[in-house]
Amino acid sequence: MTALHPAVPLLIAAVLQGLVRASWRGPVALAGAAAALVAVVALPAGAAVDVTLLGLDLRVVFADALARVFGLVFATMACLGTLYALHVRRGGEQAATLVYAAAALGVMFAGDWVTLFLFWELMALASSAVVWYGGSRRSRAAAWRYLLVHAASGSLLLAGILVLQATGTTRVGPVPEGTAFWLMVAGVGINAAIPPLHAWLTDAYPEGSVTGSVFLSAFTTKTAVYVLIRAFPGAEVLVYAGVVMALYGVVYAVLENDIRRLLAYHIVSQVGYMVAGVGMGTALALDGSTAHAFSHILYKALLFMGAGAVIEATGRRKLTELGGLASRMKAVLVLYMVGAFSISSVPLFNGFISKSMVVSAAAEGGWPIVELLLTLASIGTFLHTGLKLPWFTFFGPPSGAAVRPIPRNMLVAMAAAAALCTGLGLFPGWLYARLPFDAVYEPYTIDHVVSALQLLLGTGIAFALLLGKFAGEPTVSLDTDWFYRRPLRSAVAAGVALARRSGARLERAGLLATAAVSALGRNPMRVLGVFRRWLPGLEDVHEAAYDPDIHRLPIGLTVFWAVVALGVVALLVR
Amino acid sequence: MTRGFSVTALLAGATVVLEIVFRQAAHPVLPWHSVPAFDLVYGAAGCALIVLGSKALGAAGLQKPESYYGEDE
Repeated sequence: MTALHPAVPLLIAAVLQGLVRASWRGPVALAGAAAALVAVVALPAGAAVDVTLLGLDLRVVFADALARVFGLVFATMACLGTLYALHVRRGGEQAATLVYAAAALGVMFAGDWVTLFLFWELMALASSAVVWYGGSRRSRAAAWRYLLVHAASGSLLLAGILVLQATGTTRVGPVPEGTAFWLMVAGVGINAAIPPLHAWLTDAYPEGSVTGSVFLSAFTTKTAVYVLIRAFPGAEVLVYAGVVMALYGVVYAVLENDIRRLLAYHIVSQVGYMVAGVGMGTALALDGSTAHAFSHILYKALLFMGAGAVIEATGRRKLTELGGLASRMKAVLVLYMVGAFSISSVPLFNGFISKSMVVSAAAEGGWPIVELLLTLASIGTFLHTGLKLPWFTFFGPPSGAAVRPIPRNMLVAMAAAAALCTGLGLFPGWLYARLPFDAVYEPYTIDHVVSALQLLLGTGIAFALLLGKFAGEPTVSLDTDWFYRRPLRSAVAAGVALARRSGARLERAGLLATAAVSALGRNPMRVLGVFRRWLPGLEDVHEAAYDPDIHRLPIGLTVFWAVVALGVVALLVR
Repeated sequence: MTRGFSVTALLAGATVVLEIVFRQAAHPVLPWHSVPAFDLVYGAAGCALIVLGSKALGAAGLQKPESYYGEDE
């Protein structure tokens, strides 16, 4: 049985970025992603590849149904992302996105915790570089913060893995409650963006380049969801964490003015459904989380592509600076709305066939309040991504922004993503057949469809009545990143200032002490004179009695004795 | 806007009719699943709750001027 790890073609394409001419970088990246997709499809079900490295037994490939379905959408996403970025000639950015996708696939197919951790860390480094390539000072500052938070995530995960391995567990699988459980939940929880550990996402994702942010929207959080499904199915704490996530993102999206940050808050919200599904732990809930991750990667990429297209065309990213673009960006509007309908669970689009699984699992699993709260979050999703963002970007009062043409490949990628979102919505059986937990679910029942439509229509009516309340405001919203961007930053700055002051004082004190000692050293009689009062026989010692030309030993003699001393030491330590 | 609002209201009415006509085909799991127009009302009320609640939180101190963190930190 042969199996090519799907990360390999992506890593080869990443290396080639430094070797091929600039105009070939995009096509090489796309070819690498396409080869990765082929490799995922070609992986035999149940394939496992074991290697021994540094005395460790590693399972670098393990392709069960869960890994294969996640791998499939990750590789598809890599194709869409590289197609969207086909025109990008910055080899560093192309390489960073390829390594990022490769590392995410590495996590997917890791069969043991050490392999998973190594790819996890590679993913953190590569994704930080993707943020960095946003190109502005804000991007670079956000990338540093992002890297530090993910270093903490990796450290917690590693600590948990070490504790777990002490019990003899090496293979990726359910983690029993205990120290390892909580360390790993915290580490993975950071990557899943569970509040209050989520602010790295909404801080960094809007600061990537328009093409880089599309990749960012897909991999890190869904990799975390995958690990949660593997390691913590049925952990009740995740139900509550998921509900908090779903609502948290919605609340902040109301206040948000930056279009990509608004979408980033909805990543937190949507991942909340997946996390809650993992916590419920039933077959329907786990399949729902898997299916929703699959759908979410596609529609969220499409939404970020749409926002990116607006930014690329206008150079503007805030609702208060946008408006009236519908007639000049018709294709972008139509394709964006496919993503918006998908995330909003409009029937016939892919969000409907996956999100409703998690909500139904809550109802059927005896979580009535959770069902109501997840439904409330769904209202907020439609409100912001389906109504507020498109209204104030495309239909609101014209902003007068100039609209430049955008590269054709960006539109082609959006069309491909939209086709996949619609195709999955129309033919959910294709996805359901690939889900790993064998749940039985029928999305297109009369009550599901009517319920979804009523929810959307009710939201639309209230939106129309309260339209004035939704306009963007030129503000930023304080989130938990405030703690490390303000008080912690001030504390570090104060610490640095204190260290500088202390260093300067110590330096001055040292210079004064050296000056005093050297003054004494210039005339040893002065030293003896200090003790004249107490020591008999020194009464006649005076500074004038010292003549350096007479009393100072020749330097050659000093060197001689130093050499003798070294020789003795050398003989002693032989 | 007014026309769009009318169409939306008309569609909303149609879903309520559908819900009542096809009540026998429905599979209510929780009590509110069998209340006609529940999701319509929940959608509108939820929308109002989200926007008014969030705005109140923003006014209570969550929202700051854009220069709060500095442009080039």
